[in-house]
Amino acid sequence: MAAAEALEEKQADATQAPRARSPRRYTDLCGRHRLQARVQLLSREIGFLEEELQSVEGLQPVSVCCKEVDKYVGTTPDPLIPTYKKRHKSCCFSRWLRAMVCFNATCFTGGCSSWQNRPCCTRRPNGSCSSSGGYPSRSCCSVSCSRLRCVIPRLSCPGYSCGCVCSCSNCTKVRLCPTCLCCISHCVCE
Amino acid sequence: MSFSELKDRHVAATATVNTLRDRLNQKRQQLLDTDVAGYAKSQGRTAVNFSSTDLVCCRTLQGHTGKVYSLDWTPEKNRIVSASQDGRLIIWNALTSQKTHAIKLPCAWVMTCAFAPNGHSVACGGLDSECSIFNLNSQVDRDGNIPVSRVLTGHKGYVSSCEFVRDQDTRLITGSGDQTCVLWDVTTGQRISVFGGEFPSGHTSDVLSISINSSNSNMFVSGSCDATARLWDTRIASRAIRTYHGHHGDVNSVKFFPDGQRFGTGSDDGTCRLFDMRTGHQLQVYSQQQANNDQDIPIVTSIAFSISGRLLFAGYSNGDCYVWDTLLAEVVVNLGKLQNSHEGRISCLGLSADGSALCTGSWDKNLKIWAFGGHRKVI
Repeated sequence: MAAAEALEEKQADATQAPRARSPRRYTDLCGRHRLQARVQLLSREIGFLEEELQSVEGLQPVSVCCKEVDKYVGTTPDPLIPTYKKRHKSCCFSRWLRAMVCFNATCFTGGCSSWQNRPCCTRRPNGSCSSSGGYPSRSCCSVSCSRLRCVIPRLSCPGYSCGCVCSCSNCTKVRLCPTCLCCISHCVCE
Repeated sequence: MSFSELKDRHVAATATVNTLRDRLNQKRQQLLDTDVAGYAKSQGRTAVNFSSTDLVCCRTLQGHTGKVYSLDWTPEKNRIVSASQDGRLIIWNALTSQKTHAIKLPCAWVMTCAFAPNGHSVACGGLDSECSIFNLNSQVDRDGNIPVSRVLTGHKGYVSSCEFVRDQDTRLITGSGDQTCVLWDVTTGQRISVFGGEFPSGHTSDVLSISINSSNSNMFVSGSCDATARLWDTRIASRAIRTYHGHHGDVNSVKFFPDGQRFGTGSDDGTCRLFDMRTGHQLQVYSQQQANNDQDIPIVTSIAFSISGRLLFAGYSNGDCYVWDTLLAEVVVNLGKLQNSHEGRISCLGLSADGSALCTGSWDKNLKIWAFGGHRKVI
């Protein structure tokens, strides 16, 4: 009897329209995990900052570091900075000789035909400058050309300039000649 | 722990971090008795004096058909690799301006390139999140392209910067938009170490630049969009050695000072700064902009030091290329205003290995080489 009544109730329930239920409460696991991760990061950051605070206690002032920078910069040669150098008398003759050899053998009679079309600076006997190739005289002729190695121009390369490259027999460094009228007077290594 | 307790802990931890940072700033301010310029002036130093023809553009390297984004010199032999928006790497002979190689990239969106120490390989990376290695001596394929010899995969964001470890041809460090730096073994393509990420004390935003210490190749510094630079030891990936605060914007460029004890940074805030690696001190700020609002300040895109450290070259988004006297914190030359200068943003620059020439790359699609064109006066 009781079972029949229960069955009747169940069937009655089944025929009734389902009732809307209030939304289930979901735990925001993603947000919680994210917040937990942030707290862990912050705890770690606190540890690092406390360590750094301790290390700062015994630190030298900034002026000590500035002195080190000043000393290093002052004692390191730099090819991009104008410098003043003492010329030793014994170097003068060898430098003059090199310049003469360069001019006579390389610039005008050397194996590079490109130089015949290149403006070269020449020093007149009175010490003034002249230049060929339609370029104006430049104050670059106040120094003699050092040894030059001609570079054959490449017409396919639009960025080609004078192609003048200087090399020093005493060192392995090579410096670019910035214009076709000026020649580098010293090697970087001197 | 309940959610509300967790939130309370987060608030308390944030307050503690801010308090500790303020205390740290105060301690550092107490040690800030001078800066580099103040000290140099007290020693009677005067600024480097350049005439208008002392630094000249002696080469213009033309060939890219898109913006130049990155360049690197070989350690020897005066060759340059450049990367461009045109999707190519070009290898140049800096002395003759000749192009020795032109490499068409599998992904055109390249952001960085680097020469291997032996000069036989180049690396590049970009928006494909990979770093590709090319062997310049390998045979070209049927299309005349140099094939990729190795691809380094693993980053989850763009590769913004890469540099070979100088005394180890097989190791490379990359910086990425995924906020990490990675040390790679190029021969196997494997990641050796990952610096940063979610839990270790890494950057909290994209890494934009890295620089390896030439005096100690175990140390490198990274610059990031989180406005900090961080120092790393390649043997300790678990945490950054030190974090350097000071900038108010993305740190676009970092470069070690030649002595290996300091490094420079360039930022979106328009300033360059010099930091001491060991102490964390900010030694000098290089800033000249006095704009009415932040939008007018050109950002620093790239920096390099001369071989002595006396000159700091800084490229800016408005095409300026200031040459700073690092000791006096004064601009001594603006290469962007010289004859034959670039016509667009300076995106990258680098010094040759012997320090005698500077190469700049620009959004005007060209590279230019600058050298000393003046006279060394003899007494």
